[in-house]
Amino acid sequence: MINLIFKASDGSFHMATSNVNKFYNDNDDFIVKYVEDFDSEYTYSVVDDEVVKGDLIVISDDDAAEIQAAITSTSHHTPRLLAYPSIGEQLDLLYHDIENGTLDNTGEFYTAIKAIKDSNPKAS
Amino acid sequence: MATKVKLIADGVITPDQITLTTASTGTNTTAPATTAFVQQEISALVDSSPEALNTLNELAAALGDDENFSTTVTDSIATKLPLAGGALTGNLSIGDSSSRSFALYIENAGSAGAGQLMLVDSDNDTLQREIRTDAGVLSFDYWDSSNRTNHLTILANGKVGIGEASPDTILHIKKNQSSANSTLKLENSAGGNNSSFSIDWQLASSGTSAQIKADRTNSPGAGDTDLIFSTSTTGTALVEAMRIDSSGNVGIGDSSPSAKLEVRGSSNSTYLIAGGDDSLNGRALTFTSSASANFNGAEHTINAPSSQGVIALSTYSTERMRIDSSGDVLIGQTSQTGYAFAQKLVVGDGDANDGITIQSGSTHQGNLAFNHSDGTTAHGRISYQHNSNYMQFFTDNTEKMRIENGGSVGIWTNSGKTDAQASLDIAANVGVSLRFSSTYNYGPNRDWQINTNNYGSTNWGGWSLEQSTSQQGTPSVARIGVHANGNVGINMGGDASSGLTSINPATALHVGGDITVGSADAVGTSGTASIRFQNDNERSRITSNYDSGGGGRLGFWTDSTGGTLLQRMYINNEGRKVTNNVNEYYERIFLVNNTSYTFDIDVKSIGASGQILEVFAGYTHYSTSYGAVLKQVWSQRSTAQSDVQLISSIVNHSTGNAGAWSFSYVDADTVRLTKSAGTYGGSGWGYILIRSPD
Repeated sequence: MINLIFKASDGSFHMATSNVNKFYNDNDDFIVKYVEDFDSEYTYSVVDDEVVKGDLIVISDDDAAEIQAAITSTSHHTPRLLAYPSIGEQLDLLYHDIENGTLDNTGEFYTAIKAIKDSNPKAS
Repeated sequence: MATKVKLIADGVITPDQITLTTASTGTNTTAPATTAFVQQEISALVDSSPEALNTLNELAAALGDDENFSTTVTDSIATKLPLAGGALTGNLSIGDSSSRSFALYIENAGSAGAGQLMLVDSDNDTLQREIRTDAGVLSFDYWDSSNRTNHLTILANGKVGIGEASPDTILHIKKNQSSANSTLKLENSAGGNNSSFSIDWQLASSGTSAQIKADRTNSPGAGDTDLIFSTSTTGTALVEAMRIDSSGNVGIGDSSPSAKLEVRGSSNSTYLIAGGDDSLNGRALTFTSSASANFNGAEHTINAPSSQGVIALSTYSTERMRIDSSGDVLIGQTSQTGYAFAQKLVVGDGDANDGITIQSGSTHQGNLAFNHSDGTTAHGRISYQHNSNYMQFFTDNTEKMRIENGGSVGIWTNSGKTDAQASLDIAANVGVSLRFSSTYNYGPNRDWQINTNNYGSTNWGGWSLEQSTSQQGTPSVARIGVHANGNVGINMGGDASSGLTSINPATALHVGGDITVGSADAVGTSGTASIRFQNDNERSRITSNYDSGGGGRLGFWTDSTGGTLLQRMYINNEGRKVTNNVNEYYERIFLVNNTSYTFDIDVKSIGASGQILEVFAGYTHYSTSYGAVLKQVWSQRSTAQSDVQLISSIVNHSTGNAGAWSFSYVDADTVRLTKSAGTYGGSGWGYILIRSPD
């Protein structure tokens, strides 16, 4: 059981939600339908105010390759993000580098960030 | 005058020569008689006798010159009947000169007329009796000096009329008197004890064919007399057929009747046939009563109207019962109005309370049995047992239903059960069913049936409530089933053929569809609909209430250590979840990657002024390393500054061009989260979670 929201202009699928957000309530740009079953691997649309379940969604090889390339090119983001110290800690490192006159690639800030980047290199 | 006498000597003296005094008649002397005396005496002797008898010769001739006339006459008279009476030794013929051979022959002497014999009372000669014959009719009449009244007539053909001058039978007695005087009396003057007097009929050459006899039986008391009617089948051997005894009792076929009418026979035959010729009210038998003042003189009748072919029984001149020409018995009515297949006995007049009472002994049973031509078996029967006070109903000669004295009802189908052990005890050897049907022609109507102990079912021992799929159809769809283990299944499918086989509820209550708790009438907007969970006591509860502003609020309750149920979580009418006093907005979302989205959050409904709001938003493409996440902390300022302040954006990160979350204001109460469109197609699941202490 889930709510499906379609674009009123062409009946195309917009989103599915467990709880229709107030933005979509009484919004003439969208059509909200409640359905018992929803399979995210299929397309959905509204035709004549009725929900129509379409074909199985197939990702083309080119799209898959392009997506995979994007994934690869950004795969280092998340591990680095998770490894970086908090903003406060980084600011504290910068404070110490300024105080110590080591605001260069020998300072604590640079050294800590450089270590994380090196540990999570960008995919080539 | 002087007398002169003249004597004459030897000469002849002529008469005229002598004159004598004529002596008077009767003189008897020696004096000579004068001729005149002689003439006088002769004349006296003749005494004016008829001319033909005034001489001795003529007299002698008249006497037949019979010198022995006296003897002759005496002898002749001696042969005659004296006036004083006597024995007439010869025949007497009156009115006819012919010699008759009859002892007494009377004939009207005239040329015509009846021969008559008149008998007159010398003391009152006006009272005369006449025996007469005319034209061959012998009649005995009464004369009152002017009128003749016929009393007895014997016609030429032998018919006898008494009081009837023209009898049309052998004996015709006619009474013309209003009095109750006896008309015919038969007396046996020699009668005494054990004497009898009979009238016999002989219709054969000999013997007696029939008889009416008055028999002085002297029993039970002296002088008691019975009147006996006997008939004969052989013409000779009389057999008593009927008797009226001295007490007035009538016995037909019974010589000692003990009732006013007692009819008996020695064989199985018809003893009494009664009839009437009135086409509508032919009255065959009438009974009257005089003992009761209320019904004194009332007539109770058995009528047999000839044109209707019925026998009707009436009391107090009102018909109470009849057997009609078809053999149907009607009690309380005169025309058949009963059910066409149950018309042999119809009771009641149709306009008042009526009924039939079967009265039996206090330790016996009263029965109403239904049988057919095969003998004495009561295939159907309604029986009441007075010793235990219960009512039984039998079909096929087996008890199928019983109503106990306490009102318990047992309905049994070949179960062998004979004791209702509940208010309604339905039993069968295999499978018990209870059906509810509606024949009203309304399309949605369905038949319902409760089945228990379905033979062959794996759920043997359970029961099911089944519904037909059509109007007045056989129930075949199980709506409620109770498994032998007690689990209840509702709308789980299954049909009658499988019984409870397919109804195998996995839990105590297994519903094959939605469950609705509460209703507009029972709960409404002010009440609470709940589902409760109990261990030793109620430990958990789910409630639903009408939330302020409309919609519903779903609450989840558990008990505390002290056993008091507390609401631990609720979901309000906007979908926000409040758990352990943490107010929460949660929305699970499925987004298309290359589409932008907008979500407006009514922050005032999540947290009050001055509270912290934790904001989480996430989205991942179907690839796990491709998505956008947001984690921020917002605060709500004072009421006067009721907008939302971003305190910290802990995480706002996107990978793989999945788009990014951003934060903005809409108005004082609303914050907008947006996710920009990603680069590529595809889609994925995500969520928005905003929460605050309640």
